[in-house]
Amino acid sequence: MSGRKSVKEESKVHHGELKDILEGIRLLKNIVQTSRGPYGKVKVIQNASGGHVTLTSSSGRLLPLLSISKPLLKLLVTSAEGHLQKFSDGGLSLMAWCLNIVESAENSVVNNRCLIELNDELMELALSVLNSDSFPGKVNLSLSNTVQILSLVKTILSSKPLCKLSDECLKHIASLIVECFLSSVKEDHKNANCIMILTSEGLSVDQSKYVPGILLLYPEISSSNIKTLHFNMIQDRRILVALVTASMSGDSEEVIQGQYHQNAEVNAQQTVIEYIKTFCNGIIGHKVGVIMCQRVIHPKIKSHLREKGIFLIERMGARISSFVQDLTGAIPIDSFSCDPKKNLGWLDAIDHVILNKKSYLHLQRADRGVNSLLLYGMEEEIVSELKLVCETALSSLQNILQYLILLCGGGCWETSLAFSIKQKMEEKRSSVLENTMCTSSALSAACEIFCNSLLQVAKSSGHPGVMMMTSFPTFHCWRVPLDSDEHCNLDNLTCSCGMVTEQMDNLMSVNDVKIDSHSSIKDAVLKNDISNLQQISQTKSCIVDSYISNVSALRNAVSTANMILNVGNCLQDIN
Amino acid sequence: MLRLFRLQVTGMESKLLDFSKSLQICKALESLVSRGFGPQGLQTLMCTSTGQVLMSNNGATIFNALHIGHPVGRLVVDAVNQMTQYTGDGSKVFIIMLTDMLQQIDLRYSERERGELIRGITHFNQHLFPRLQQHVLKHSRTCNLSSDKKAFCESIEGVLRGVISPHYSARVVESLTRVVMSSLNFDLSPSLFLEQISIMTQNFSQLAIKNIGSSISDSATVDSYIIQRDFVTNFEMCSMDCVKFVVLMCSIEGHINSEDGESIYLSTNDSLGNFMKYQRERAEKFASLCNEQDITLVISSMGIPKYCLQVLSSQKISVIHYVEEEDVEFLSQMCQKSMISEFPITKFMEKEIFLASSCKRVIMNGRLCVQVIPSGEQLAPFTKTLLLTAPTDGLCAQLYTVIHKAIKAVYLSLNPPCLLKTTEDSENCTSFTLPGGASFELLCRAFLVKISRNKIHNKDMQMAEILERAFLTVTRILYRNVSETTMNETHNFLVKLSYIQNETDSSTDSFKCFGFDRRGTVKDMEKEGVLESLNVKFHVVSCVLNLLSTILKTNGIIGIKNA
Repeated sequence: MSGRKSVKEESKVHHGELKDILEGIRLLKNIVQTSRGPYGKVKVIQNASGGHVTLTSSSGRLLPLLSISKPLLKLLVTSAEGHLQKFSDGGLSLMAWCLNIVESAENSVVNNRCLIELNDELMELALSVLNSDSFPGKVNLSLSNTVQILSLVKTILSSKPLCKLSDECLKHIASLIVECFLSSVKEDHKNANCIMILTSEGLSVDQSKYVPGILLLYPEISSSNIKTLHFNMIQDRRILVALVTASMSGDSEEVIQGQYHQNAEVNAQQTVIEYIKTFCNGIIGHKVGVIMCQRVIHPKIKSHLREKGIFLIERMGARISSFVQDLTGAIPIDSFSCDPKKNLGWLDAIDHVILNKKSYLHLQRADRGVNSLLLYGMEEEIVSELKLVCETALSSLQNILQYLILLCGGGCWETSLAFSIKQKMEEKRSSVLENTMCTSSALSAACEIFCNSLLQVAKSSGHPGVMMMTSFPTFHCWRVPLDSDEHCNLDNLTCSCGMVTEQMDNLMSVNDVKIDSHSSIKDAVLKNDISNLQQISQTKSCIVDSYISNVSALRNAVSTANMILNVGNCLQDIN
Repeated sequence: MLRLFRLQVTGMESKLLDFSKSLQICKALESLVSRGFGPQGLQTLMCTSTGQVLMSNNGATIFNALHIGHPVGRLVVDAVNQMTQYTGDGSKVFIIMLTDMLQQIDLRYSERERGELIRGITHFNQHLFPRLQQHVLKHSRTCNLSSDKKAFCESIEGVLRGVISPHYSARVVESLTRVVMSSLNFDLSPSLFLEQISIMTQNFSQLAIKNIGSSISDSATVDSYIIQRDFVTNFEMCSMDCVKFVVLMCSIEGHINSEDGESIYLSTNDSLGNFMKYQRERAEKFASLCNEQDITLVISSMGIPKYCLQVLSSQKISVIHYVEEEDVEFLSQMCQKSMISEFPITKFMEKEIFLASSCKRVIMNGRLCVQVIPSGEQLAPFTKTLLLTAPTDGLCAQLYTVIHKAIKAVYLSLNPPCLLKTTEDSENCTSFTLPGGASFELLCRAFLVKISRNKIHNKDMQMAEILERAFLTVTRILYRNVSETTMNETHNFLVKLSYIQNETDSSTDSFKCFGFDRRGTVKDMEKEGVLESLNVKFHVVSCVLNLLSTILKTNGIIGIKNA
């Protein structure tokens, strides 16, 4: 029983955890807010013992590398990582919202539990505002033209400054991604990862390209010159493909697991190899050109198959074999006792290509919607960042197919939401107070904290050193340079997302907005403005955000902030 | 042998246990959870050395995370664990009461008088405690499923709300209460309803699925039984409405127990080939057996090798394998059918064939699962599965604990208190509840004050006084936690307390239970819809008294050191 002794030696108890980590909150907030958006600053991360140096400004790469000792902040990071896993976008905004709420809540006089309940109410209100058709911060997506989709991809690509995309490159990569995505969308709008992203260093970004089919690294053929490959073909010059996911080296499940004894002269290995050979002969009988094996093929079987003129690809791994399955239409063979005829797929052609001094096999079949995206970059970190951004863009494109709504980016929707909440709150004040049994001043403070965190985040997505302005009734945000000596075209200022144009005189600073003065909203004006937004977003390139990932990030941020505010003590194990 | 003996002797250590040490330990435990008591309680964040984070306001969870070394601490934590296993709720009230009582004893009684107290506790348990229970029962809210369904539903809702509210904010509490309520079927007969709740309590791990999603209020219910496995082959053949299936606990191919040294002997070159052929024939026989009896689905707790799957799929039989053993057992228990543990010889027995009205693939938590809706005559009353959603894994675990706790409390509220066990017939489903917000404590206190004014036995007197003060402390801590300002806290509390006392004294015939709501205002908590299970409360009090007498009786620690 002595083995059951707990390894844990000591538990440390902290009380009033929140006050101690204010420093940490500020630091993390600073890191997060300065990383956001196209004007964000790139962070260099290296561990204390001098490991790999990572350059990044995206949450997907930043968060796993941070080692956080404070449990409360760890909670936040876990929550952000959970969100990223699902949407791969909006991680930094999530953290920034959450940290802003927590920091200002700590400085406010309102009781934390009260704030938590009010935050819940405000979030509910925010969701109802976001859902309503009269919210001026969103546009509906029409799939009939690609302007909006291109805008979304460009917004995502340009949000990470490390990629160093020039305007030309941005256009190039965005159109690559959109083209690639659209060609892999199937009838039912469901395309599970049909785009394989390959990266390579040493060439400039604008040489990136996409090819239909799969590119498979194949070092068995020398990369010095292109070799013509010959295959057994059937009619229409098709190449039959068998995809084997079982191991072809003899360690399969076919025989029962257990101990075996054998006489000295008995050769069990031979029996198993013969068995696999019988299966292979069955395949050969169907004039198969290529056998692709996810695992290893036994050398004896290899040489047997090569003699019959069959091309072999082995050790593919599970990831690539799922792509191959999509491309060839083959059903994976996981048991040698099956009838192979039903499981075969086919390809139009297999070519040997050399890209960036490496040997690849190019598997092709028309109209299957499986594509490879080849990304080049001058150095490793840039390529990694670019790859992540492209993955984000692709997953965002997949998400918007389910929710055909876009948000006005560049901080516009946040500003608009903040002021809409303030307006709605004035209308609903009495009923909210009744529900929560809080004081009126607490409600005002909570509302201020909530809206301020939205505005702060909106502010951080742009250039520092500008003044945030807004205008009635859309409440989009305008960034006016503080030192604007050149009053050249103050007549027509465009907002951050590029959808609303206003004259300088109509703008006011976000701090000066008095909600009461505008309590009488002219519905007609707003409706007109919203239909204008819709039109502009379809004709010109604007800054837009994905609706579902951002809204879910906001929800997550508020609930995480509530959790952090709710912590009284903290137990930490020390070994 | 000699060495061993010596080791034992030198490794032993005997120590006198000082009473104040026990008090000190309880105080430390109390200080850890007292801020978390009540609807405005603060949560405790637990962080393991590997960096996993768990948040909870559940007393038992917090104590277990502590890994206390001192024997008295262990004694207390074990008592809490044992109690919460039965009640689910009440761990914080337990520790608050215990600490307060220990403190009073430490202040007011000398060591010699403590022996007297132990007898006092026994006496109290025998004579006064039943009277106290009778008194509380008189004022409790009792309602019956068959006679007043609406009130019955409300009382269950109230208990759920009462248990969940310390853990989440008001809006989340409401939505969770709604979800749990919707998972219960109130149209059943009383005895079946009781069985339903009891199944939920005992098999909660099967009937709740942790789902990592965006927010806790996204939690929902889904119909019937979910097998959380995606090891499914050719399932598309099985989307028909009526499915016959068997549950396998053994492997089709048989197995070799390597640990016992069982092995297969290969005598000639053909042996292995023949053996493989035999195995295949066996699988084919199994498939044909299934076919003869129209069985289209096989659920297996073990993995089925690929070649068997191939054979089964060629006969159009679907397979779900690697299903957890607990899940399989639960399914067979609910359907009242038996599992197959040996390879069938001629055919499957009638009691081995399960029926399902539908069986389909669903995606939960980004994972493929299988939803089975069993049917049949002897089906036990279970209807819905809870889908508990929270943003992270740790928060899911917390939600799971809280909801389990709430269901336990509901189950207990339906059990008649021990006093009534003989008189009431078990066929009827009655709930015994009391308004929350410390109403129980105030009620008990009023009773104890009243009887100590009358002449009672001296021994009882002491205990009544100690218990009365403990109840008051619980109330005060609740008020401290819910009141918004710390200014004049004690004064405000006393004002409100005397207000409650006056109210209860003046209106004797139409008795009202008053308590504190989540902002610290005095309210009739029954109207607020926050109720507490009477049984839980009684059990907590008796557990505290039990442990108290154990601590009073203990005077030494004998420890065996690791040499």
